[in-house]
This record gives sequence, C-alpha cells and structure tokens, in this order.
Amino acid sequence: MKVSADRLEKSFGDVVAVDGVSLEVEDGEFLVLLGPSGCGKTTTLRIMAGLERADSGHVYIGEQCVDDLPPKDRDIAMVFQDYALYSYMSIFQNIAFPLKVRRQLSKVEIAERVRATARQLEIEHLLDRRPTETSGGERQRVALARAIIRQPRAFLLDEPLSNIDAKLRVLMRAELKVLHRRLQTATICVSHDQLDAMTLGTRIAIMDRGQVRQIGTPLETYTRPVDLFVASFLGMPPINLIEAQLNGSGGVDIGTGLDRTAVKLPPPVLDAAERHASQPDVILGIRPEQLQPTYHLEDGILQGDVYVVEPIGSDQYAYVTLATGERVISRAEPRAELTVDTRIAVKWNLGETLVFDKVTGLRIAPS
Amino acid sequence: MLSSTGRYALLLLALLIALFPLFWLVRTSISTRRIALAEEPVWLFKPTFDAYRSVFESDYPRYLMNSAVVVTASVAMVMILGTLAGYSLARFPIRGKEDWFFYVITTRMGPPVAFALPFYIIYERTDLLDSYLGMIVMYVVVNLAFAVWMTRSFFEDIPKSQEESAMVDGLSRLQAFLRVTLPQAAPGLIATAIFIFIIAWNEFFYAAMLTRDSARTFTTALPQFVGFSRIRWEEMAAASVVSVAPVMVFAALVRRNLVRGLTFGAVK
Repeated sequence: MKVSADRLEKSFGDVVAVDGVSLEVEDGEFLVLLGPSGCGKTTTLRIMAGLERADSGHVYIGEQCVDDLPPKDRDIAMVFQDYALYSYMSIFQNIAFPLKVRRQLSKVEIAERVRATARQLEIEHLLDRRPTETSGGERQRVALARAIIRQPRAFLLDEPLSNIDAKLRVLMRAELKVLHRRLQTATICVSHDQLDAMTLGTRIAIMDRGQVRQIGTPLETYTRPVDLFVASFLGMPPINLIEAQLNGSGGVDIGTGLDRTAVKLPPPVLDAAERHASQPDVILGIRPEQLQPTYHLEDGILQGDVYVVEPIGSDQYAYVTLATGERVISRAEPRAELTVDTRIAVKWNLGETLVFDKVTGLRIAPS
Repeated sequence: MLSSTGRYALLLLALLIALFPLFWLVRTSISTRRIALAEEPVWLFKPTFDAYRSVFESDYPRYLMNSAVVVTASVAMVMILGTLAGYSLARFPIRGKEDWFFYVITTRMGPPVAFALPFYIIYERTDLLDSYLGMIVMYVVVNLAFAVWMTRSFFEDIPKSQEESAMVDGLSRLQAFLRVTLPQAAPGLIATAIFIFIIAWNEFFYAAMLTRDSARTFTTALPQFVGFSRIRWEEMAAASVVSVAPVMVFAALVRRNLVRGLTFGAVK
C-alpha cells in the first residue's frame, strides 16, 4: 500500500527537526531516508509510525489520513535500531507477540505462522532460546520475523544495519533485498550509511537539516546530484571538489598565480556552465573513479604529487596534491605500482565533470 | 591481592561481626532470667521458651499486627504511586520535570524532628492521631521520594524502544507499560519495595509521635520491656526476634530478585 507524508513539520523546543518533508512510497519500493546525524530522518520515520506527532502536515497510508491513529491502528510494522526484543520472552514468544496481542488467530494458527516465518528467515533453530542467547545478526532476523509475521501494509526500518559488523552487514543487505523482493511491501528505511542506501534502496531521499534535498534512484542521485551536499554525501571515497573560474576560452582555470592551469571542458558541460553560472566562479566535482594517476605525464591533464596510496586489494586509491594546490583522490589500477612522493599526471574523464554554482551550491545541469 | 583463603577468612570475620548481635539476640531470647542477667556470659545452657510465651500472652502481638497492617498498606500505596510517578518522569516530556523531581526528593531531606510537630498538630485537628490511616499516610509521605527516585532510574534503564515496539505491534501505551515494561522492571521494583518495607517496619520516631495505643507499632512497644524493677531482657529479645523474623524470611525468599534489582544498572 502506498505510504506518503505531506509537508511534515516538527520542532523540539527551538530545534527544527523536520522542516517540510514530503515523500511517497509505493508497494514494491524501498525508500531509504539518508542523511547525517540530526538531519531529521529518524524523526520523520517516527512521525510516520505514530510515535511522534507532527506539528503540521499529514501522513497517509493508502488514501487514509492516519494523523490521529495510534501506532497500533496504522497496520505498519517497525524494526528498531536496537531490535527491541522482549528479553524475558523466548524467541518464539517474541515473534508470536504481534499476533497474540491482536487475538485474531488461535494458538495453533499462531504457532504455525511463527514456524513458517522463522523458517523463511532461517531462525527455526532459535525459537526456544532467549534474546540474550542469540547473536546480533540472529536478533535482527528475529526482529524482522516479528515485523513480517503480521503482513502489514508497510515496513519502517530504523538503521537496520548499524549494529552489525561489516562482514555480516554485506550478507544482511543482500538478505533484506531478497526479502523485500519477495514481500513487495512498501518499505521506508532510515540510514546514515550511504553504501546501505545505494545498495538497498530503489529510491533514496537525502536529507539535511530537516529538509529533503533530493529523491531519486541511487544512480540518479549519484550521477546527477542536485547540489554539493548530495554530491559530497554519496560516494566513497567522496567526490573531489575543485574551485575553478570560467575563462571564456572554452574551459576553466584552476589554481592561482604561476600554477594557474587552463582545463578545456567538453561542450555539454561547458554550455551549461557558461549559460547558467551567475558568475565565473564555479566548483567542479569529479568522482575519484573518473581520475586516474599515470606516470606517463603527457597523458594527463594536471600534474601532481602522490602523498598517500591506499591499496585495498580490489582497488587502489592515490591521494594527490595537484600542482595547482588542490588535493584530490584518484583511482588507480588495482595492481599499479605507485610510490608516495612521486610526480604523476592525472587523467581526467572530463565528460563526467559536474559543475556547481559556487554561491548556491546547486549543480548546473547540462540541458 | 589477597589469597583465596585470605579472602574467605576476611569474609568469615566480617560475617561473624555482622551476625554476632543477631546470635546474641536469639541466645538471650531463649535464656532464663538469671542467665540473661548474669554478669559473666554463660555459653552453654538449657534453652527455654518462657520468654516467648509471655510475649505472646501480652499485648505485643497486637502491636505486631498493627505494624503489619500499617507497613504493608503503606508499601503498597507507595509502590503504586511511586512507580507511576517514576515511569512518567522516565518517559514523558513534562515541563519543569527536573524541578518537580527535585522537589519530591527534598521531602526526604529534612530531619524528621522538623516535621514532627506540624504533623502532630495536623493530625490532632483532623483526628488522625493514633489511627491506621494516619500512620499509613505518614509512611507514604516518608517513603514516596525514595520510591520515585529508585523506580525512575529502573525505568530509565529499560530502552524506550521496548514500549514503542509493543505499541506498534498492537498495544496501547498503558498496555505496553503493564505487559512489557513492568515485567522487565520487576526485579528493581521488588528491591525498592523491600527497602521501603524495611524502612517503614523499623520506623520509630513518627510512630512514637503519632500513636498512643490502638495504632501503636511494635517499634515503640519494645521499650515497654524496660520494667519498673528491671529490664526484661529475655522478653525484649524474644519480642525482637519475632519482629525481625518476618523481614528476614521475606528477604531470604526474594533474595535473588533483591540482588538483581540492586545490581540492575551496574553491568552493561
């Protein structure tokens, strides 16, 4: 069922937590609310669950406005960051709890459903244990089982992967995706981890200081970020941002004084920049994977010195201080031999360059 | 630092020192008048239950019953009010919450003597002197601050997400409190109740001020064993044993809960 929020606002005293947030999630969609701590994503989720009351704005489940409904009547399920398993009940009783409380099914039917759900999440062997006798990953599956057993209209997940170690997180991400594909229930998930958002979400809503900056598919938000904030938040290592000035001769100038270098920009990028930029100062954004260090100095556009090398096995990143003064991160071939404090040239995939207005921070889009 | 035997020896010593008065009490309660009064302590003698007999034949059992009624009722009242207040302070955003909390705590800060006279006057005017109701109210007043303080911290130790999860699963807030929060706070609440029981059970000062005879508790009845010609040690001891026994049995029964409640927040 479609879940939507319409211009939600919420303040705690003087602090504005949610500032006009609107969003929509249909069945089959997995929307991730992504943003740094304090951006209002968890508050938004809680308002949609009914655990907080918005100062203004509405929450709809289907066509129904649920503003005045308590959480229990909204027919949604929520998985909390700490899983909130009832420590004095067995795993079986934990999973059965939502059904037991509603008193619509017989004990036998409940037991059947619990076993089926547990089997689905591969936790049948844990049913007789207590929450304290299970691992973090197992607890998360119990929390998920408890959420899906009711077959609710929507799922709300609060940082589901935050409390899991890195390796398990990769596995759980895949499992969540499989689960979502199978259930197709509208899901809203809160995360501060951009990798979780990119891998899990069918769409991402990036939030900052109570406002939604951009909603789009992972690829859209990555390749066409609406502003500097979104561009910097997505992508690891983060995007390189270089200050430049339109030089009126087919490109931009980077750097100052004697190191000032002209860089020619390809037509679509240049057109947009020249047409929309309010003044010659712009900020260029280029992702690390679009920059490649090379010892063949004639092949690169700018030169610089390597100051850190990060060989992570599948990839290799070189941190470079350009001759013009900026520091950038570039991606090298995984097996390339790079040495610190050596001079390299940076090959630059100019067509992928993003241009941002220096004053507003908004991206200048090619038409 | 200390070897295993060293530690045990130290514990044993501490135990002996702590339990000796109790031992002496029981010993005195089963001794005859002569042995109780003897200058040189007699260690081996034939026990007698005469002292217990005369205690039970006196008015003392009635005072014990008064204590039982007053203390049980006040503990029940305090736990109900205190738990609800503690939960509210732990969970709800109340304006001026910390000020209210501090105000409640201050009720315990004044010396009993300062409150005794005002209370006496109030009780006299409202006809509450020497009554069950009067004593119950007094003990509620005296213990409420402690209950609120303790229960608040136990509730704060239980994550809010427990109730919120229950609320999303299908319970109202009150139901979530009763079915999810209370069971988990139970060890702490039981420990608090036991503490308050012990405080109220042993209370002397207000009992002395505000009762005469019909609502007299055992604490103020014990001095009656100081007789005209002599102090009736063996009877006083017997009365004391009878008064201490219920609390000790009770505490022994809930021992596990008591320890769990005391250490609830300690190990994370």
